[in-house]
Amino acid sequence: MSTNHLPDYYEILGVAPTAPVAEIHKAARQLSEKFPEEVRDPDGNVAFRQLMMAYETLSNEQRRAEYDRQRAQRRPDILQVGIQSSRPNLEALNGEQLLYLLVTLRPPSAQNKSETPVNLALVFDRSTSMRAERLEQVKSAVRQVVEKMGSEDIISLTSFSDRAEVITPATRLKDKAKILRQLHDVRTTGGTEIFQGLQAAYDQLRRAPLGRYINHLVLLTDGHTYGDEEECLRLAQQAADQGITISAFGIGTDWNDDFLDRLVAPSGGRSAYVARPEQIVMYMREEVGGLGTLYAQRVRLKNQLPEDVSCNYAIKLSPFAQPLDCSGEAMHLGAVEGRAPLTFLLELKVAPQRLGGEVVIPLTFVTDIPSLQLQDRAFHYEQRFEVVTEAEMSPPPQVVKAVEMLSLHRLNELAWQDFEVGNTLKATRRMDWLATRLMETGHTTLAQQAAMEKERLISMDSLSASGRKQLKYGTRALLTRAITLTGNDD
Amino acid sequence: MIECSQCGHDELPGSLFCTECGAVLSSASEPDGTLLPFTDILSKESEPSLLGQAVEPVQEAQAIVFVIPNSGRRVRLPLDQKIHIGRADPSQEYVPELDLTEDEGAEHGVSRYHATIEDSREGLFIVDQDSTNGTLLNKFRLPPQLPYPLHSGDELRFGQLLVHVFLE
Repeated sequence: MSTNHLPDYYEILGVAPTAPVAEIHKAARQLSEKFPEEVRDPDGNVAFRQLMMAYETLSNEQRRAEYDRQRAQRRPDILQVGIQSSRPNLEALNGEQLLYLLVTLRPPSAQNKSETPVNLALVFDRSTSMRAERLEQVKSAVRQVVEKMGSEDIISLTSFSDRAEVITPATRLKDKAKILRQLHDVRTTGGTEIFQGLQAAYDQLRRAPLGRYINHLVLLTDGHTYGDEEECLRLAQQAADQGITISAFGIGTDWNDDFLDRLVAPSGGRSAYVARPEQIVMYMREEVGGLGTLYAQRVRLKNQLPEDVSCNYAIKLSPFAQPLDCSGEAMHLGAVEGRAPLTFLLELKVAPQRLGGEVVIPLTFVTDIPSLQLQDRAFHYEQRFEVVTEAEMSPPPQVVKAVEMLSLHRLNELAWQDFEVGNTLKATRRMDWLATRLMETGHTTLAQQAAMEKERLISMDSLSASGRKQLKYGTRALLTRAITLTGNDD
Repeated sequence: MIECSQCGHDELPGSLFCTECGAVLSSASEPDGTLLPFTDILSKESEPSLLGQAVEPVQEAQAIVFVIPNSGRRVRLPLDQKIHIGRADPSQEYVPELDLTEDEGAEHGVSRYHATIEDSREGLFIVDQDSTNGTLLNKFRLPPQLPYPLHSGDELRFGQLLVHVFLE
């Protein structure tokens, strides 16, 4: 018998592997009493049979010792996957219903250091709007990144305004002083054309054999790009197909957040709002620090939903909050890092169901794990939901918390959408609700921001650019916090 | 549809929060109705009264009447024996005292062995027999295999089939 299929008798009995034999007797008795008389037949009910097996094995000293030995030899899973659903079953209905899945992926054990070298391209805006202070903060962030990286890592530096300039071509980090000297001379000039910069940085990344590296492109910008958005998105897709992750950081308030979200979506990277220049260093450290503990990359969830189930909304919650695109063949989730699990939330809409049926949701993850030299390795899971007359609603607390924060995030999104289509009245009402809910949940700063935007809608029929970013990224941050604060499931 | 108690917006079943105003929807946080205190009547051998307070003695109820709105049927049963509730199973030669077959029990998710009602010195109680779709007592979902006190005027739901209970 393969030890990987060894059932966990301790888990079945709900006792610790160190539990004394008296506790095992007690647990087994209590559990068996939950089974009705007529299924307490070792040949009948599978769950009951398992319980009996667990009891018979663990209550005998010799058998328990042998079992413990086998259990200790189990090969750890390559990827740990945890799935929580908002409900254990579905309801027989003539209409649609919702179902939430909260999924967590993590390495099999704590992973503090990745063995795989990093191939990093930093591309930053040097347009005149960047001004001295922003550019200096970018430079100091880059300096820190360069200092932190290992000698096997590769880095390239590219700046852009109306055109791109490669400051440091892709190079191993042997001569750090030289890289820093080259960086020193960068001055602000011209406008913002992101595509030129992206293309140059992408070319630098491709000078290394991509298969042997963790490939990452980081964009720092403070402005709107003009007329080249489609080209940028095409390049982002191309990069994702080759295993390059793109993250994008917007500095200040005058940049297009929807565009940056779309730019990072194909590769599952991060887009974030840098409100103050001095935060640039922190974001960059976080971003590059994550690469240093990376375990699995290019994690994708195949879209295999049955015909009667559709994905309404998908969002990543940890290590950072980022909306996910569930319209394609596969959803790109980004990387599994050692520091924090990759957690995402799915809102699924289920078509009318008949009593006695069953809905099966397959979850197939495909990923590369560099340390094990695995490429496109698939991990298959599934969740089954029986269709009953009266479904139970007892969602796990973590799911409730995540969905609650998602509802705030979406309330904000909807308010902006209402405003954009000219429905100020509706937008005002939503902004008011948002302020109330944020206050109720104790997020006073964000609540005040929402209240201010509401007032602005009433008095001036407008919303502010800084409010837009603060509320959008602020409510995203709440999603991450919802997951990390309600504790983990192990 | 679930109606939001704060803004009246309709949400799909299974929703946890209102999309319009962000309020928690009642079905998300707790089962319908309030939790009834659980009393382990069966384990008590001697005198202690139910719920630690004086229980109105079951006014010498002789019979129990079930009213089933779905079929308009009225069933009166004596209380001198255990009452099984469910659907007849001819292959097992099993006919429960309260057979809900003709009330469209199957369509409403009634199990064959759905629940039982027993009389004891502490009063009448109902036990869900691990039914597939559960038993609701005044909108409270009964955990299987645990006895709960039953009173005249209570509302029971086996699966989705509503049954009113009266004592005579």
